Order: sequence, then C-alpha cells, then structure tokens
Amino acid sequence: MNPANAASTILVLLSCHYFSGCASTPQISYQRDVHPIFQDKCIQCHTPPYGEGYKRSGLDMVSYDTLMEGSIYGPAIVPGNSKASPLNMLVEGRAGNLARVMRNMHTPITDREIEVLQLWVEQGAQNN
Amino acid sequence: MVLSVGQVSVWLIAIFLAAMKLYALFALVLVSRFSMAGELEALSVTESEGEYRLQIVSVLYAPADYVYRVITDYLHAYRLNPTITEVEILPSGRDQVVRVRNLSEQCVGPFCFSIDWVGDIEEPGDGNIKVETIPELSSFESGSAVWQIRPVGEHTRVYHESSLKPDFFIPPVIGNKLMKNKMQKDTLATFNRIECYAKIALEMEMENEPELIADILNEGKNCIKL
Repeated sequence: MNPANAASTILVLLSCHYFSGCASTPQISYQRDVHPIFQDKCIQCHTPPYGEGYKRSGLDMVSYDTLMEGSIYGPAIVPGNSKASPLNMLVEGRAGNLARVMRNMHTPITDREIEVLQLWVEQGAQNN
Repeated sequence: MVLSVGQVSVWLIAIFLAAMKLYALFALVLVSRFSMAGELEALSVTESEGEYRLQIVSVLYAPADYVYRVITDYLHAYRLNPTITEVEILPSGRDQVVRVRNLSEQCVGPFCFSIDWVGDIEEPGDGNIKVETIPELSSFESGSAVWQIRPVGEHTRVYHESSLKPDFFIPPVIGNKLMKNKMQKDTLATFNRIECYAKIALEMEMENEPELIADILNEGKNCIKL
C-alpha cells in the first residue's frame, strides 16, 4: 500500500470511529435488550434482601437505578467503558473463574448476550 | 541512510506511542492527590538505570487477616487497581505459588495502550508474600516485590518493597519524575483501598444483616474513589 492510500484508509477508519455513520452497530435499549438478560440470568440472586448474590456483594439488579448504585465493592458499570466495567469483566470471564460460577448457577449467559451487554455499556449504559 | 516507508511508519508509531504514554503519565500526575487513610511511616520511589524501586511502610486500620485476604484476592485485583481489565490465574506447577496474569489499560482520549504483567506469587503462610515478575510474558524487563503483613493490635503494619524495570521507553528526567510521582500516587491509592475493603470484609462478617448492606454499599463506593 502506498503512503497516500494508507493515509486515506486511516482517515476513513478514524471517521468511522468518531461518527457512527458507516458503522452498523445497533442501538441497544436497556428496557428492550438488557433488562430481559438480567431478568433471566441475574435477578434471581441479585435481589434484596435474601438473594445470594445480593447478600454477597450488595449488588441489586432489580432496576436500572439500583444496578447503577453498584455493589459494596464499587460501581458495577463504568458507562462508556465495558473493558473497565466489573460486570462486563465478570460475564466475559476476564476475572477468572467467577464467570463460570455465575454461569453455572442458572442458564449460562450466551455470547450474544455478552455482546449486548458490552454494546450497551459502550453506548453509555443509558436507561433507554 | 535511506529509510523505507515501512521503517518511517514504525518509527513514527514508536514516537507517537512514547508521546502518548508520557502524556498519560502527565495527565495522571496532574489530577493526583496524595492522601493516606492509615498511618504512613515511609514512602519512597527511586530510579537507577531504568529500574524503579518503591518502598512503603504503613499501618492500616484493619485487622491483619482481613488485610492479607484483600491483598491475596488476585481475582479481584481490579478493585485495588481500576486500570486492570483482565485477571487470570494460571497454573504455576509449584506448591504455595500462584501464577497471576493482569492486563491493565491506560487511555488518553481515544488512544489506549495495554500493559501485560505475569508473575509468580509465593505465599509461605507467615504473613509474607513474594512476587517475581516473568519478563518474557510481561511488559517489564524485570520485577520483584515483597510484602510483610504484621498485626499491630487490631491494626496492621504493611511493609511493601518492589522493583520494576519497564520494557517500554520512558523519556529521561521529566519521564522519570512523572513515573515516580505516578507510582507514589498509585501506591497510596492502592493502600487506601486495601484498608477500605478489609474493613468492609470485616463488617460483612460481623454484621451479616441485609439492612446494613445499604451503609456498607456507600462505603464500598467510596473505596473505589480513593
């Protein structure tokens, strides 16, 4: 690739990064896409006062507001940064075998659901 | 000497990454606040031939077994250092030795770079912890650390000494100063968080009542901000 072509490719990639015009990433909705995942996979344990996950961590996933309050160990979600969000780290298996423990407790979380959670956090973790 | 486009690109990328790393260090130092929850007895960072040595002695206001538990909770290392984005426990093949891999990420605006660290952590069970970096798997040429965790009544005296030689370029003089400031700031923040989480672990054990979680929740949120 000659330098001019390389420069134009970089410009196109950068513009795709900053302006979502050329990306086909879907807009994730908390109510439509994210809450059903939590409902199916997480809330049974992460419900106060007696849910096992809640008693261990203080993380209440029943509503958007309580989720965003975080756990006794700090925030569960870092809006805009799925890499640094503990919730994403856990479900993606980036914090050791904890993810396996969580997955074994109920129906395993699917790769598609992991991707939805990742996109939702990257898009700002909005209550939409 | 004639350089090809490819060689020029490699050099430009190397210079750009070095500049970004320096900028990241500078930005972190600008927002740093030096504070300590426990009693800080000593803290020093020195540099010699690219190797950084850090020593800290502090009394933390939490019991020693809880402090030990927090420090050795490797899977949750991201609670002590929020730049960690990945933790993995690997087989070490040795008794009393845990091999840990951490991936951390530093970002400046849209530009991010990753730092890989793999090390063997030895826990002889006497309140001492020895850490040895594995350079071939890490972003460091060398590195080691020791921890000594000793009870002082209901509190804990923690002695920590470590040395690290990064394998990425750090500009001399100003880069070294920024690096030393960042190490001091990060170490103090980590010690504050160790104390904070050790207190929370104690409270959770003593008062396992659901209605008390709300209070602890607020403390937890404060831990990560330290």
